[in-house]
Amino acid sequence: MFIELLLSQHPLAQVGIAGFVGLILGTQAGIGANLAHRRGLEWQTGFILGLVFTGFLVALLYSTRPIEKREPLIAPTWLSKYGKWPAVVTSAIALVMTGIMEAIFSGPPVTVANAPIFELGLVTGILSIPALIFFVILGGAITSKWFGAAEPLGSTTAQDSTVESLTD
Amino acid sequence: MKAKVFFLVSGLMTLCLVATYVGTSRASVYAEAYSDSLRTSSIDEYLGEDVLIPKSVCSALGGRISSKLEAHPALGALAELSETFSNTRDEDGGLTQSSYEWLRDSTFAETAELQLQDRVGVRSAIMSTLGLDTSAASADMVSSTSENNLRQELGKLKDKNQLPQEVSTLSWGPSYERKLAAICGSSVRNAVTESTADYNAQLLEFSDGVASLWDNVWLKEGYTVPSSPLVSYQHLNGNCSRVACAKISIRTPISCEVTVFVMFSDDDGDLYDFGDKTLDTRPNISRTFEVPGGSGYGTYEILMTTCS
Repeated sequence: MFIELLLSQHPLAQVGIAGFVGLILGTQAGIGANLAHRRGLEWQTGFILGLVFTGFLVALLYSTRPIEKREPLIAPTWLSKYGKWPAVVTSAIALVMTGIMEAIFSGPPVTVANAPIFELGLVTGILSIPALIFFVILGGAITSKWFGAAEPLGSTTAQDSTVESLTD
Repeated sequence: MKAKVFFLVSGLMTLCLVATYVGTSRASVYAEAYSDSLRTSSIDEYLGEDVLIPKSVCSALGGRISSKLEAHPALGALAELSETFSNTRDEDGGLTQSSYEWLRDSTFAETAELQLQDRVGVRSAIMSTLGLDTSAASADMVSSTSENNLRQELGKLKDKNQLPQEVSTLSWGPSYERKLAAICGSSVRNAVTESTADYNAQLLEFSDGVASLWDNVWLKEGYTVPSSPLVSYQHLNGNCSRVACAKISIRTPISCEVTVFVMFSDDDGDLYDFGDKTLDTRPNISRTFEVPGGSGYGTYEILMTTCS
């Protein structure tokens, strides 16, 4: 059973699941951090709180406070440093692993002795942990652009009023 | 910017979901192929390569077969019989009345169910009585050696963590045994030949002597003859009025009234009882009679003969 469980963790599936979950976690925490940041909270503090308590809760708690910052958000530099390229590299490793698996299974008949499946499954299994972290950061990095310089501040008013109306 | 962020995140999530779907699909294919690799009929198929059987295994196997055959009680029994029988012969090695009396009085002829047979038949009966089955003996040793060797190979795989619990090794034994038998065939044959050479020579001499008693001494010298007549049958190959029939031949060493009970089983396995036939025979002259048959070409079975 353990072997089949390990086998079902294909590199693409492992990194895909980790990436999907990471993006959801990072995005919702990033949105919460964005909203809280406009109401005086440090962005990365809001991001961490969003990861721990969910971004929705952070946004809800800080929605009672008045908006203090209306200028475009300058995202912390570590977001793009640890979010973009590590996620790309992780995905590339998963693709390479996938290629190796495909090469093994398209070759001579698979035997237990000649198939390094356990090693591949283990490597990608371990890889999915940093992949999760990198994609969480990537989610945060992307959503930190929500109130980017290119976005006119006026366009955020509608959302602000929506959030504020939730707390009324 | 919001739209860009939205589409970027949505696109990445979709990409992740697609990767997950593709990965899961391929993983199920891999898992199936891997499961197949766990159910193999031999250790060679499991490993994807031939497991080498060193020549030393064959020589050790040959040695064990020799030891087993040489220690078989049949060799001692035959040597004893042969020696006793030789003592009854004259100086020139010819058969004497003592030879006949020994055979008549010994329990050996009765135990071996010796009848008036040719040399091959006598030899076969003696071999059967002595119970030395070289094929079975060597097959047993091959089997035990194979089992032992395979256990060692499995141990090596376990040590290398190449034998998960899911692997079924039940059908590996017979295939490994066949392989061992094929590789060590000449060693086994040599061991059997060498270790039974003396036995075979003694057997040949002894059975020839006993057969000679039937053919010569009893008939020519007028000794008392045994009560068992020689009965044989011969198919007439369908020349018997469209039904299978056979010609039963009876040959006895003395004048005798012989009763033969005949049964016939046809191709379908149905059994026919053709009753009994009584004939008066003369010494060493064949008497024949035909028996009817069932449909098709069946086989006849001589159930019982009596000579009174």
